[in-house]
Amino acid sequence: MRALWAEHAPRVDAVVRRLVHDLDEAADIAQEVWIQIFRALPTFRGDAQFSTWAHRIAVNRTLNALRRARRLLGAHEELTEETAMVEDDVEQPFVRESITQALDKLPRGARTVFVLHDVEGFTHEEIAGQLGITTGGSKSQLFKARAKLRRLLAPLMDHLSSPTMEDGYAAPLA
Amino acid sequence: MQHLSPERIAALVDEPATHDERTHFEQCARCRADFVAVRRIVAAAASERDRPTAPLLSWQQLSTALHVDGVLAPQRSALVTPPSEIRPIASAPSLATPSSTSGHGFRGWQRVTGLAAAAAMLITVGVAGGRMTMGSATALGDPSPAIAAVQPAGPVSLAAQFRTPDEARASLHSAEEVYSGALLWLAAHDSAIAPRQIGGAQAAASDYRHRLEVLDAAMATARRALYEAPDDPVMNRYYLATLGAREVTLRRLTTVLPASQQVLEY
Repeated sequence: MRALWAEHAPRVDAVVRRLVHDLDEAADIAQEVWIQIFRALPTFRGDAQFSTWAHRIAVNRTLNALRRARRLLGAHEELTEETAMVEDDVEQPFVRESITQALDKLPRGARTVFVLHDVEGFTHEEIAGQLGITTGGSKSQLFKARAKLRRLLAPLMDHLSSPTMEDGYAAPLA
Repeated sequence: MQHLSPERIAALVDEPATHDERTHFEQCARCRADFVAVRRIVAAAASERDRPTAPLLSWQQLSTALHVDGVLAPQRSALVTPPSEIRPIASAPSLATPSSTSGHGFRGWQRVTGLAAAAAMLITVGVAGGRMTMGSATALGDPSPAIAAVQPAGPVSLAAQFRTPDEARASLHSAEEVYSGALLWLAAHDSAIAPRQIGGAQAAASDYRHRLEVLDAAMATARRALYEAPDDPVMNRYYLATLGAREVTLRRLTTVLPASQQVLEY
């Protein structure tokens, strides 16, 4: 068990860490995740990679914990409510902010959707099912999260390089 | 010129643009730069998925929780673990988290009583109380050196010695060490909780069972109190001390039973 934990904890715990703002709360939830993983270990049939299976448990368990703590209730409204606070932060320089740090500035609902979609690779349909929202709500939160990250990271992103023609817009054809 | 909204630009990372939007991009360097920046953010986020971080828990913390939760069998090697490495709290089920699914509360309780130690009163309850139930003549009159070390003048006068919370916590930590060592020592040596010399193993087993009954009654009382005040550090330590005494007694009971018998109930 210890070997299993040692091998997979860095990635499993990373999932929890990305979804939970508070480090101490993240540690609490990580503990729940690993208890769940080891308890469910006899049911692991090997039809997926262990890392994939554990990753799924980590996401589900973390979302359950967040939901239990009512952190996700009214997430959509929360996004609107917290926008003003984040706008204030935009005025500050974020040259040294990484994306991970900037994530902490997002409202919880937007952060959760961004992490699930853009980091963990879930579809909007899966996210909607997990969070009990519509796919449209999931998309809306994702786009607001991205836009806010863009504003938060503007100094950093603009400093890295100016867009070139190669970097230019190349959206899929309609 | 009407720029695209930031949210719309963010959406265009994975949604097709309309003809008008494509035309706008060709003419607007600002929107184009925003789009490139968002796309870089999304790409960077995707690369985060496989980036490991430091574990949020140590194996010691996790294994403790696994033991409490019953996923791992009780540690039978506890008695040979050096006292300095033993954390009494680790072997004590937390009544603050009766649900096995709530590791959350367990760590919360760990924080509240993270420096959990048996105060002098609790050691007296756990050890001397056991002596009384064993009918020993030394019930209260012959404290072991470990007990004497943490019980020089009574809790009230001891409390007056502390000037800061850090001092009190340091003393708790020290008492925890003493308590762990005392439990280990008692489990191996204490003749006061040894079985009656007359009557053989059967009488000894009876004595141990009697003591277990008394300790269980004390634990039931503590448990009820903990449901009322789950974060109360005194009640947590009371329960912890009683639990430790119970474990010692169970181990002693095992030593007097025939090799073919296991302690499943008493």
